[in-house]
Amino acid sequence: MNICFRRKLAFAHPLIKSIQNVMSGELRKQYSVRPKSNGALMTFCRINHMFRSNFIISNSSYCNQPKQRQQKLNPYEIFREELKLTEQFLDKKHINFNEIDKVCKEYGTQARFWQTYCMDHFHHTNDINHGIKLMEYLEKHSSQKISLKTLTLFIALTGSSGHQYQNLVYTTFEKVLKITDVFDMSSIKYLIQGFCGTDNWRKSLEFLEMEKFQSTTKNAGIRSPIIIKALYEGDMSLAMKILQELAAEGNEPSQRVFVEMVEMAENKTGTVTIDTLLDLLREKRWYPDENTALKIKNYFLGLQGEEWQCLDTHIKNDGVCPCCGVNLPIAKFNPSDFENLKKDIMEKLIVASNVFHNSSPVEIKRFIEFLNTHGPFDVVIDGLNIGLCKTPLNPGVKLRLAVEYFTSKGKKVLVIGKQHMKNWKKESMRRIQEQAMLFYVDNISEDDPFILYAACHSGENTMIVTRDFLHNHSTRIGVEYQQLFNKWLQCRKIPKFIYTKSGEILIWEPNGHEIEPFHTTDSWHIPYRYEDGFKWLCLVK
Amino acid sequence: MTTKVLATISNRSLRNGLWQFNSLIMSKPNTQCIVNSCMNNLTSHRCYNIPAHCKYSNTFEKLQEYMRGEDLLDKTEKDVVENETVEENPSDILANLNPEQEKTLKILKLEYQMMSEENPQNIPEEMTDSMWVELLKINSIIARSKLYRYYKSIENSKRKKKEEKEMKKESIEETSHQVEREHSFAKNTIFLRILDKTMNKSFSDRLTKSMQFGPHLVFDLGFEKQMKPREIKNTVKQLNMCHGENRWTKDPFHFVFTDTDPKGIFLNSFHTGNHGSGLGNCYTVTDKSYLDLFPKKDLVYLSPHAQRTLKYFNPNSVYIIGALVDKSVQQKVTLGKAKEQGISIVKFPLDLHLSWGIGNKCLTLDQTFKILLRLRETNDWKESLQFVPKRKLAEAEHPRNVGEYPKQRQQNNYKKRQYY
Repeated sequence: MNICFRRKLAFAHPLIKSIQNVMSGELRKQYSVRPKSNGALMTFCRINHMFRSNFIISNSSYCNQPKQRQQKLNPYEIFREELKLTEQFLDKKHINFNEIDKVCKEYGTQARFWQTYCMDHFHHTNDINHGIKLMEYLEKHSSQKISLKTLTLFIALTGSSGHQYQNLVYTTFEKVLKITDVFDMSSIKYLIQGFCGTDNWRKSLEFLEMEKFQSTTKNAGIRSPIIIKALYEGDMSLAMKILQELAAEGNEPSQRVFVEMVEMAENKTGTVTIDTLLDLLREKRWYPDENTALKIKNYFLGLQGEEWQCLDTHIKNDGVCPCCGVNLPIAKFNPSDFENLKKDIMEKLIVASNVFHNSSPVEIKRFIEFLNTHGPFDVVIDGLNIGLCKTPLNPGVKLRLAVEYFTSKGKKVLVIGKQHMKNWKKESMRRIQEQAMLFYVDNISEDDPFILYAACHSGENTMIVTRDFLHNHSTRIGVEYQQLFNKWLQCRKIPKFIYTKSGEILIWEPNGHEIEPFHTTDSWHIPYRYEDGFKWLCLVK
Repeated sequence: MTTKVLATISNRSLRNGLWQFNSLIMSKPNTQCIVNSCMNNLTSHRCYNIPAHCKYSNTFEKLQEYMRGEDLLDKTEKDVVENETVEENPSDILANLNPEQEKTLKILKLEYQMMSEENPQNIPEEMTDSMWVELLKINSIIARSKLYRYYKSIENSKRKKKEEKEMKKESIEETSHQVEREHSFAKNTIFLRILDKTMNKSFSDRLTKSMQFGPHLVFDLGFEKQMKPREIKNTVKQLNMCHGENRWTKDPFHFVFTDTDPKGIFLNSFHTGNHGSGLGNCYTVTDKSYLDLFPKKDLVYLSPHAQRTLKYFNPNSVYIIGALVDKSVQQKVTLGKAKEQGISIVKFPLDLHLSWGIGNKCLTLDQTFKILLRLRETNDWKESLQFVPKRKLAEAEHPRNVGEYPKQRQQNNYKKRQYY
């Protein structure tokens, strides 16, 4: 038996009781809980968080997608599983490589992997002594050639393990140069890792030039060791330049960079302080992970001569911190950027490659004339989405209720729908037309981009009312305006819109405040990613 | 005129694939009169000898006259428009590269080596020059690894086919001795013996009739630039399947391929071989659009995104199918093109006659063609819509459809219908 959660039930009281029973552990063994839809899962997570339980949500039920196929094992993994290399040989203190070589020769054709597999294991466990022993064995005794991958892995191992192994990096790199003078992506990754541990770390910038032959985008994972090394050496301009390049393409550096920056601030090496990190996060709109948030928290707790109080909280739509009562700043939009976003929506979403895919030039002309004559609006409603949601009421009635809700507050409302909506209940449609403006798009064309354009045209403060998440439109917009677009949706799109059975409307108002690190004279508020949403660190002196 | 004609199948013709003929006659009652018609009209019909260059000619007016039934054999032979594109040899391209491109080739070969060491299941064992040329065009690692996987799948299927062929050879050699013992009359039988040659003649005979008078079906090949080379190969395969189905029917369509690029891959694929790999003889290929060939009133575009539905097959109108495999194309391309030109757009009534389960409502080319063909024969939607794959329907016993979720969906649909 499966207990099924729906959106309606999520706000009813008896459900919470049943969950309390489940949490107590008696029912948990017998039943497995499976939320069916995306919204139900969100509510379930919220309830789950309320009771602080260790409930596991099965991934297979998420969005009802088919289960992933069982992935075939790599030859490395087959090799490891069948021979049990790690248990038999590699976990010992004194490894006999001659023995492994003998066993692998009996095994067959895949025996050529044994050196790379062993080196990969040492690289993973940071075991430098055995790595050097392996290289010595391969040079003296083995008849096999040393493959490129083992050499690059060995460079990565020696570079990351310490400063005293510098010369080993240079000598092995000469061996690599005998094989090739160009490198592919995976070997570049290991070479940079190795060279960043030496004095000659600027050579790793030469490897980066090889990247443009292989791909147009810039990989963030390769660059993170260079950034860390540059920060340690005190070359701030180089690090900021690389970070700028990543931000221009919409990429994000790995979380390890942030963690290292916190550690640098702790030990006071170089010119990095905690303010540089938090300013960087605010500028580029990058968010720290759960672990990095813990690191930041520990940094503030460990400060000498100052007493900080640290708490994890959820900040609601009002923008007031429940712990200390500080008001977060209200979100603002730069008017020139907003104009550019409007143009971008027109170019990328409505016109795109061909005007006729989503609409027609006659329709666009009609639409812009309509907007110019009837002026800016306070609320834009997606008529089809609101009318055809799940609650068992007539679609015309549902739309009418939504319009009346906003007009009673004294707001100017625009409803965008399609031509076939004229066949809905005539009384309700007539009453809608009296209270609000209506614009009908053709049946074949898409209505979502028109809604976005209308809301963007009429100003910063207009609200959008849909149940759609609009994810697919955010990917189509250009990279420069993607952050602005997402922030705008976060602040101006109503996140939840629900009808009760009696016809009342429940609305969650969107976030008015900005989601970025906020500083006053004696407090810090830092957001970090937690599951789907955000959580905040509240730090007070 | 429906008379049953039975055909004998010799060992040689069995190897050549004529066994299909017998099985089709048994399974499809409509195809019984194939042999009868071909035997009578084969020699007398003068239009059978179409000049080979006629189908590639750019001047389509002559073809239009040809469709009307005028004798054009002498005229077309004189003004032949030779517009065949010369395909560049991939080995020549690789020999003449920029210093930058040479460096990328070096890097790609190293990448191939490293990838094959890491993950040999998804990477082909042998690489040809044409593969390297295609790989040079791609600028991301993920796309390249996908292409490697595609090449590997081709390699695997080729190997399987080889093994099957060898198995068949062995089995045929074993059985042939037994058959000779059973029918030991020195290959003398009562039944008529039909060769492949005569069969092909009969097929092309009927196609010539449809070229003159019969219904025209347009395949729009104008979407070549929006597809990847791998998708173009898939469309060619599907078009071949359409042609194969068309040959076996009683009254076949006349295929008109419009909007072809003279330098594109599509036109080259038509050149390669008449038997097996390429299409047969009787069809037309032009670089003109369908608006120049047919009156605008009669044109009807078939597109899954349309609003109106097709009610019955109208023999006077010319139907257009967009030759598109949309694995990567996400926009409504066919709808946009038809809307721009002002042609009426129509979709199949899938929602009316089927209870849809899960899946996209875009059908493949051969499925749409089969539906059209059966609709023209029977004018019955339930029979013609049997070619929609059953995994997409709600009733099918697909593991995804068995659980609780589709039941809820059906209830919701039912509730929605009450309001309309």
